[in-house]
Amino acid sequence: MNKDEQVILTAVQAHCEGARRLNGVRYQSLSVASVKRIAADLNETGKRVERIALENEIIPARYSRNITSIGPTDQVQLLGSTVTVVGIGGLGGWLSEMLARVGVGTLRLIDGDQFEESNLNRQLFSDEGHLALGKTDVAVERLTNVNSSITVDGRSVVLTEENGPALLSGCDVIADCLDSIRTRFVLESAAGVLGVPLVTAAVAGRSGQMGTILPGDPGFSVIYGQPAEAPERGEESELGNLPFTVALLASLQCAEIVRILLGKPELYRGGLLYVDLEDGTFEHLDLG
Amino acid sequence: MIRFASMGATVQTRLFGSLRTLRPPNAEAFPVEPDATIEDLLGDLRIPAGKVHLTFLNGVKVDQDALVSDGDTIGIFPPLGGG
Repeated sequence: MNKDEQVILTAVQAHCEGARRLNGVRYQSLSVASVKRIAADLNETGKRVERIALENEIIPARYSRNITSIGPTDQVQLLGSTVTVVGIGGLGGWLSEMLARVGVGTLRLIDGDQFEESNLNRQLFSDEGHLALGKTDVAVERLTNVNSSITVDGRSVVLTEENGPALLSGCDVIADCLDSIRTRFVLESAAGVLGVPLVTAAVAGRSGQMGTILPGDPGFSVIYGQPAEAPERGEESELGNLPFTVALLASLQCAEIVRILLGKPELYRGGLLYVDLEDGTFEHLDLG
Repeated sequence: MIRFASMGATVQTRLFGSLRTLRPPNAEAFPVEPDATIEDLLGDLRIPAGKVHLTFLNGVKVDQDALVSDGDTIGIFPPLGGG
């Protein structure tokens, strides 16, 4: 441990306090206010303060309900990870909220749209006071309020072939939360060039699908056909989008992304998890 | 299980999304001809060609020229693209 890390640890140890888990086990806890105060006093990021605490078995209170399932070492791994979420609508709103709460240290959010009234049924960051505001601007404000220790970087642009590689470089996982099938191919191509795993989901009505595409995998051409022949929209143009379907599929994406960030094998590579809430279908389909 | 030719081959058909409205009453045991393909089955189910995107035979993606056999489960999925 270098000298400035020792200074941070000394401050963390001075501020931590005894706490009990729900099962009664004692542990040392660091409050949100203490993280902020230490970070401000030492001109450090909250993320670094939390990392040093976790490395010394002192649990930031905001992660106290994570820690028995995720563990301090893996929580540090999440804090050091970067996820890019492309599309901050239904799926992307719920997903980025969960990524911020679980403690992924850097989120990059890409969406060039503004909120409109038709978003209110399902898009977490939309509300009546945010209509006509940029989706990424609202998301950055919200997520910074949820977790001030992490870095949230909003890019209010539409993903294109030209800007894709620059927008997406430097992240560990990319989340496809787009609403355009053709743009999904643009995203897949850029992710492949950059060598970054892509966790995709799509919804329509009570139906949804999610899967993981690693660089070199056949990917969207198996799901949607060749790019030139693929439709722009799918079933959602007839069935619309429902809030419980997008929240569920975003949860499935989040669980898979956390697995990948923690170095565990992907559950949904080479296949699709297809969900139909009309009849309770949860089917793991093999894309061959 | 041994099946006799006179019993006729049947497959379980599973239609999802908006295709659900085209599900026949005998979807669980839909009769198929010998050497029928998925494409033949889609025709028998009167599913418009443009409506189908993915077809699965016993959980594995197949092209529409794949042969179906007695007892198979056929999943028929329209494209999903919403976010």
